[in-house]
Amino acid sequence: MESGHIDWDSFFARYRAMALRCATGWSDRASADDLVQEAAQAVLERARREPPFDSEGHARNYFFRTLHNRAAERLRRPGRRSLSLDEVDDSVAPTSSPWQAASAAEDESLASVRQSALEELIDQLRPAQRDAIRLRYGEGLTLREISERTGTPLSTLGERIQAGLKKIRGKAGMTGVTPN
Amino acid sequence: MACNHQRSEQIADFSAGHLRGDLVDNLLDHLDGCEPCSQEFDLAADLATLGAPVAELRPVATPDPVRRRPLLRMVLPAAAAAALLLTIVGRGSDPPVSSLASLEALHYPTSVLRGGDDDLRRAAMERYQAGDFERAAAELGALAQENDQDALAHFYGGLALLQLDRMTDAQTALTAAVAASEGLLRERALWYLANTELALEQGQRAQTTLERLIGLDGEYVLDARAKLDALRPLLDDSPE
Repeated sequence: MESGHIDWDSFFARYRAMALRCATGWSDRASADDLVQEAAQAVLERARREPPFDSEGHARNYFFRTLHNRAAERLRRPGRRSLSLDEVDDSVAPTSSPWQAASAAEDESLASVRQSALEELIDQLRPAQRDAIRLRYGEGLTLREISERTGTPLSTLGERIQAGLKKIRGKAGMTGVTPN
Repeated sequence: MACNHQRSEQIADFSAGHLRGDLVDNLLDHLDGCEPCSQEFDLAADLATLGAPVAELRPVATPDPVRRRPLLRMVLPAAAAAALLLTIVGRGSDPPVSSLASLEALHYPTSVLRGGDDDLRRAAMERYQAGDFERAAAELGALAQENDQDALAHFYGGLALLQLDRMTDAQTALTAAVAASEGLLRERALWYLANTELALEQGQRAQTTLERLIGLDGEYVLDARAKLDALRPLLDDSPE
């Protein structure tokens, strides 16, 4: 993962879906949007301070740690009010929410290119591998849930997913479609 | 490729929002120093955007008909019964979060279900999602009648009947779902059956159903124990 400048539009576009799922799992759906928004603001604020993030991975881990901590705080203090954008320092806050900014820029962003390329790679997988990966990662089901839906043994599912991921990684590496 | 299979599974669970507590911190700490796992984490993030939008994965739940009903009017002083019943129904009527998410995703991916009854079942469940519980219940009921071993039709038919407040019919469908299913689906069927029995003021039956659920030692075990603990004092005072 490259160090230096972080493309925040691409960053938020990449991690948004995962963050919302995590926040929903760690708290509840009603709070998830607020929690993710708070964590996004926190990572942007942190990015303005010294020392800067030394890599996108560093920023990513900070973002998810903050999200996890905020979710835990909210469980302990359920009445806690979320931070509104108006309360964030203007020098730090973007003109719109990070998600809106990411969405607006999505068509031209690295994330969008990566997304399309990934779709193509997945379509090239064997149907059984493609279905297993979409259910596991795209829909966020557990192996057990997939097994019950499809009637496929757990061990077979695990093998299909690992084989599919290996193919994606191999082809992505050759074509450079999933840059890190 | 993650550095080992267990890490790979943790990353997948994390991306779905299923990882909890110290395991989250442990994984994030690990990512700081493991490039292969860090790359797999990013691939999981990319893949997470490929599924249905989160709003579709976890739609706002339709009102839980079991919770809406006045439950278990036992022969207790009204105020005491109300307090206890609130505990029983309110505290435990939601399934565990991960199960709830799956239950709410009442659509089945087209890539999984192909042809025959699967098409009919999917169409019926789409009616359920759209709030057309009458037709969903009728169509799922027909599927279940055609094939008594169709656990999914029994189960989701039972949920549709619950939405219609047809509690006795729901009990029949969910009982059949329990008999025809296994694994997590069986747990869910038992859970909803227990709630239905409570709504029908069948405390002893609900106790038996909850004990069966606890015996499976699965995802619902803690919720089932909590509900049973709250139910027992009522049963002790009940002439049922």
